[in-house]
Amino acid sequence: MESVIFLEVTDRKGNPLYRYRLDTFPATIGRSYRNTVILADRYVSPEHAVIVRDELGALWVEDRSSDNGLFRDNDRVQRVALGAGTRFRVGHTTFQVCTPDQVVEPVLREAESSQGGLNRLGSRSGALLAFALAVIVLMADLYLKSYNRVSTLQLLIQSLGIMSVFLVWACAWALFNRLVAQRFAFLPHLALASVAVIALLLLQPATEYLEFFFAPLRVLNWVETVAKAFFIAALLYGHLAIVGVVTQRRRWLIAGVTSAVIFGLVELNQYADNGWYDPAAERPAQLKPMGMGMLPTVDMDTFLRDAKKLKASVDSLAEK
Amino acid sequence: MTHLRWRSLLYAAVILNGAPVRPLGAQDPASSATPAIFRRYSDHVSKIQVSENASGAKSELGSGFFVSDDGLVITNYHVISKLVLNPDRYHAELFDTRGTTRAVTVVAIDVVHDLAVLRTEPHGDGFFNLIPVSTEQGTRLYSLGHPHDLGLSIVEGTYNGLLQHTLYQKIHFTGSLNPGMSGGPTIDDRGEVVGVNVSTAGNQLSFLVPVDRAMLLLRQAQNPDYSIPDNFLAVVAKQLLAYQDVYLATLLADSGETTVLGHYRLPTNPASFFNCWADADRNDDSPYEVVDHQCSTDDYVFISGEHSSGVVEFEHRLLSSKELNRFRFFSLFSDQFRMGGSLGPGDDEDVTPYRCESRPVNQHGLTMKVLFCVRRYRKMTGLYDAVVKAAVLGERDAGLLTTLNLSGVSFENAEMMARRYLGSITWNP
Repeated sequence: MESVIFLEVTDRKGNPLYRYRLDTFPATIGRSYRNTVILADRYVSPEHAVIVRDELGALWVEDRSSDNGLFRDNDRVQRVALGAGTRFRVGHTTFQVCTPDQVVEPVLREAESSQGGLNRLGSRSGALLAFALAVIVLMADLYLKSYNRVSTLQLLIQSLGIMSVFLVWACAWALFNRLVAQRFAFLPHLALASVAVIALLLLQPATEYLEFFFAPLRVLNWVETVAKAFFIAALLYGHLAIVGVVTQRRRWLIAGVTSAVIFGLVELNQYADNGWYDPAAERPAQLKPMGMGMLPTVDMDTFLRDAKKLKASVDSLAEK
Repeated sequence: MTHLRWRSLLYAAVILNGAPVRPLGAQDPASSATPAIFRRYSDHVSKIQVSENASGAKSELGSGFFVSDDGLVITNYHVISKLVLNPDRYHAELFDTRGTTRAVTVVAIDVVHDLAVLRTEPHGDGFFNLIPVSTEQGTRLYSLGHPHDLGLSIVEGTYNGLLQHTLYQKIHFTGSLNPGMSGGPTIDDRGEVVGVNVSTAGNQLSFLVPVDRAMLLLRQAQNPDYSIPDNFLAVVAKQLLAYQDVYLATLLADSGETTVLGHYRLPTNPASFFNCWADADRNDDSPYEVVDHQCSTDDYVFISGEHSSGVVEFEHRLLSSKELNRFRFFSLFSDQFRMGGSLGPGDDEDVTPYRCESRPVNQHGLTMKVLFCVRRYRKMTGLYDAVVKAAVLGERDAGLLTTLNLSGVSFENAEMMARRYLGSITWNP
């Protein structure tokens, strides 16, 4: 047995909270200030236990007639032989024994702690570039959506206004980041939010064209919802990856479940709110200046024949 | 046009407190015949009150007049509509000039002309003998009723002929009819009933149902073979269905009138009972132009306080812009095509939500996105509201939007109208 051991006070999950280096034996454990290891645990006696080396050189922890005793694996025992990894408990304090030759996990390099691409974006210039790009794309989008005269300044103010929401979002993530991982990482969070805005704005025309061409297809609703849910999940995953607290699998799980719950509730709400209008009524609103020749049209007879089913549909609503 | 419903008293009071235009006749000393007419005929007229059963609170107030010696009374359908639609929740009473109160029951209704025949126990009341009358424009008339529940009143006015632009005849009466006078008679100085008070547009502009409609309904009620229906709701539905069959039959038929908007030839003024108007918005501040053309029936059928029917309206809107690029123009086009706004009266109790079908349709070589939405009257089988909306595509800097609203029509007629309406849109190079 080594001449030096470390006693780690661990939390419930086994993560170390404090470490004590012990090299002189006997070493005592208790609440009084005469001990080698002083515990602020009201369930620990003033002189609770002692670590001794026997004649063979082995280390033991022994109960010193304490009120609450010494435990190993939830069994009250008089003494426990100590080796690397041994766990024992006095009062409400759990100890784990470590030795100097204990193997530790390899170092995590800073670059690997977050996603590769995001890391580059997380640099000051990368994040600012992403943010600026988001503002520009947003301005272009606002310009194309507007049909009144607008000045560049108005567009800029509007898009900055919208982006301020994402600034707040990034701040919230940075605060969370600080709480759980001791650093803010504001720029990476801002960069991620900006990339998300750009992606969303670029995806939008695609969905609008889909609506323009295939509006009658109800499955489109579902495709769109699933796509949105996936998008939100990816965003959450990205933020969690920057924070870097949980494993990759967990991140997907958390992001996926959160997004599914959000969209589940939205869908449920729409289902429950048996609206004044059919959702289908909102769909054909998308009119596009291109591809009219490729529109899959039908003649009036076919259209009205298909519309006959509406009668049964509203009749059943009325009979309810 | 406001129906003379007692509940709209507050609203009416606001309008009527502003100094109304005085009719020419009001400058003259009151006709000396008026007190005599009032004395002679006031016992023919009574107050009709509809009350809620549970609370006993009065819910609707109007007037009515005796038309037979066996206790038949004529009033407006809208006075007793609550009793007709919810017979379990309401009851009606009649208050005569002697101050006695009598229960009344509904015998017959004419929803389209807003008339009803009621029965009460006879009590030696005087009554009007309804006969056809011919009246000259300018004839002095006297309207009797209970305005705002203030007691029986007599209002002088003049006969100004029949209204133009209505599907069914209505008399234009220049005189102040007020809420509560609904269902009262308007008579000439010989005591002949000319019409039944029905609605007002304020400022002495009032309307009467001609007496011959009341005579028809009375004759029906007095027919020995006539039996009082168990379910008046079904009668309402049947009358509305018959009504829409009549007025839709010739509407928008092939040879109809058309107007030109941009490159499109479009239906307009489909019948004499329609009113059409157009408006162009060419504003220097706006990078696009809007030209509107709207047509609508002037009249509607009262069903209940929240629900009415029998309105056909359509609107063409041409959007164009030289300034906007095509993406921005189509943003405008899409936004204007979006469904929304108020689409006809009726709340959740009266009508179902809309259900829609939409498709790009090719018609006469025009490509249009068509939206066809219907909803049903909950309590009346066979009656629907329909909205037909189309965006005509094909130009990059101009687009046509057109909307047809139908209320209280059969599903088959809604289909037929959608076909005729969209079919009458053609390209006009």
